[in-house]
Amino acid sequence: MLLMKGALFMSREVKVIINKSGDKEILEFQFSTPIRIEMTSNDPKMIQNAFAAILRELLIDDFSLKFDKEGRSDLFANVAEKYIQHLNSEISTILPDIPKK
Amino acid sequence: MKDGRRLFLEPSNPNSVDVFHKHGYRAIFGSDVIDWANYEKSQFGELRFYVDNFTKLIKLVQQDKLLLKDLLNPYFSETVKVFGDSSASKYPFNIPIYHDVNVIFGDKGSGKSEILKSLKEFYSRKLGDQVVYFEAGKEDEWFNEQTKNTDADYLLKNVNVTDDCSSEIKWIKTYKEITPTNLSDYKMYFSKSTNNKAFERMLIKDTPLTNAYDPKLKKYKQLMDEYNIISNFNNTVKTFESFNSLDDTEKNALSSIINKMTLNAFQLSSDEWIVQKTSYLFDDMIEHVIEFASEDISSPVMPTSTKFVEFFRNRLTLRENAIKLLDTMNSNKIEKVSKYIGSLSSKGSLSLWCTYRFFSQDFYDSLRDYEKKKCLKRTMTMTNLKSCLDDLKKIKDKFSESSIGDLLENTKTDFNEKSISSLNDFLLVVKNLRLDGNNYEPSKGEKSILALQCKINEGSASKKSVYLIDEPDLSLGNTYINDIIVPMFRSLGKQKKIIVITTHDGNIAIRTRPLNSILKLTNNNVYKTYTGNMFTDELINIDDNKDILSWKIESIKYLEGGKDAFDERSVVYE
Repeated sequence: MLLMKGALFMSREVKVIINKSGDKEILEFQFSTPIRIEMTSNDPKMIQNAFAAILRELLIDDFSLKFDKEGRSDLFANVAEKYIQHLNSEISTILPDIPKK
Repeated sequence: MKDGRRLFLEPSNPNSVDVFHKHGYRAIFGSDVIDWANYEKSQFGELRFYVDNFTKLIKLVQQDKLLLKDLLNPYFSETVKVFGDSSASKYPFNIPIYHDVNVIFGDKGSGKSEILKSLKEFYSRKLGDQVVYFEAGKEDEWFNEQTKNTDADYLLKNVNVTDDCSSEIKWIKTYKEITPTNLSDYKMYFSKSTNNKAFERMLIKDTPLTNAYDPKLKKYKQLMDEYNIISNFNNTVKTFESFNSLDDTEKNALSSIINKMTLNAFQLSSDEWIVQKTSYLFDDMIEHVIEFASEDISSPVMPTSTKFVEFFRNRLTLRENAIKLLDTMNSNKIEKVSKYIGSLSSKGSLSLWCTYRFFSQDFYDSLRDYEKKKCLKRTMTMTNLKSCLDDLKKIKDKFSESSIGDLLENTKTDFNEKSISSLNDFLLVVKNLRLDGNNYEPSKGEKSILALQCKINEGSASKKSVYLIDEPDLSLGNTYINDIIVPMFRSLGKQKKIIVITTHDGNIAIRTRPLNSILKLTNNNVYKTYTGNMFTDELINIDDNKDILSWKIESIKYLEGGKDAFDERSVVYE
């Protein structure tokens, strides 16, 4: 994490896209090992697993998420945009508390 | 020695007097002080009675009965009625007891131990807990008692730990994963609320939450601790000698700096508290405004967060709790002397050592089998503690793993299996005897001598007044009896304690110089009791004062194995 003029800058930016796979809309965080959340599922366990994976990535290095709509403006794009906005804000909140190896 | 009664001896060593006494001679030890410049280094015999003139001295040697009665009288305590099995005709009978060593000897099965039991009852009733009672042959029980762990051993103060971490353990045992905001909540909001233009114009709904509120107020507490430390230091430093040795300018400068630090610390903690409470109020306000607005237009509530912060903090707390438990348990073992047990003559001194340590596999494996059996708290098992410890290590390392749920389930099972609720349950306590610092397991005979010493020492420390000792010579070697037991009883006698000893050992019965000897005889179910002493050389039947035995002859018979054996030994030794 770099500190410049009082602002926080993440050292890496991770792209997030929506992938369509059949009927499923999947939010994909493009880490070296991608993290996926099925947007059409209501299984909290899946999001918990995704959060755990995000946490593991944060333990390696700080990052921010950048959602790429890829031209979409449908419901899922709106949902994903807001979701990633919230997630980004929350990640920046907890960065100082991440245990460093 | 013409009259056959006097012997004046100037031996080179005071022990020679004991030899003469043991052989039934009456001896007085006179010492020539050759070098009066070093008078205090000369050795002197121990006078059993105080005589203040030469005439009395001669009478003492002649065993003058009147003089001896006068000398013995101040030591007489009382006549005690001895009870026993009511069906046996031998009971009750009276015996005199002196504030000194009282020796009971005689035939086996004549009721010597019964006398002690009766005295125990008598004195316990009369003096309460002033009685020390020792029964030989129970050395293993004594040893097990000494090395047995009690509940008091499993207290954290023994390892200098104050926090039992029960809240951390409870937290882990009741851990629940945070349920994240479901994406369907977002979908619901976007699919139904976007038609309401007034709601769309409400920009507050897009305001990000601060998420800065920490329910544990960790940073605030840390700053408050800092403030308290500085503040306390500010108060106490003025009592320091080093502070008062400063001149006024230096004192003022130091006080000024500390005052400034105190104020700064207070300001920082106050600011942090304000930040925390502001964040909480702000986030709460946003959430409620959106909720109220959504209700007003019957629109679904816009989620305010994904709950990643809560998820992260929950996992982090889990890890911190595991680390706290592991770190606390990683503290060094504490070894301390619990108490002095006694001396093994020339071998050295034995003390009871206690080793306290939290469970670790390595430490447990290093213990001897009998230590392993005793070291854990009664309700704990090694396997269970090991599992719990392994669980905590895994939590620490794998707190970000998706599989934490399964791991936590195992942890809960392991902690609940033996109802582990605090760090006390992880304590190991090892008690062992050490001879001059090295682990030592005493032999059966050594346990006997130590048990007796321990009993006497504890009695002395708590100033007990009556000591009833049943056959202390059982399984003891002569060295221990001479070096340890005899001096111990002599010392108690000098303190005018009541010491009643049953024995078959000549050293104990004679070398303690008892003022009172009780002889118990039995023959064809006829029991006789004689009382007297070595100084008058008389033992008088308590039921027939004309039945008088020679103390010397009876002593040789019962304490030395008979005259023939005694003479044979004397010849061999000479």
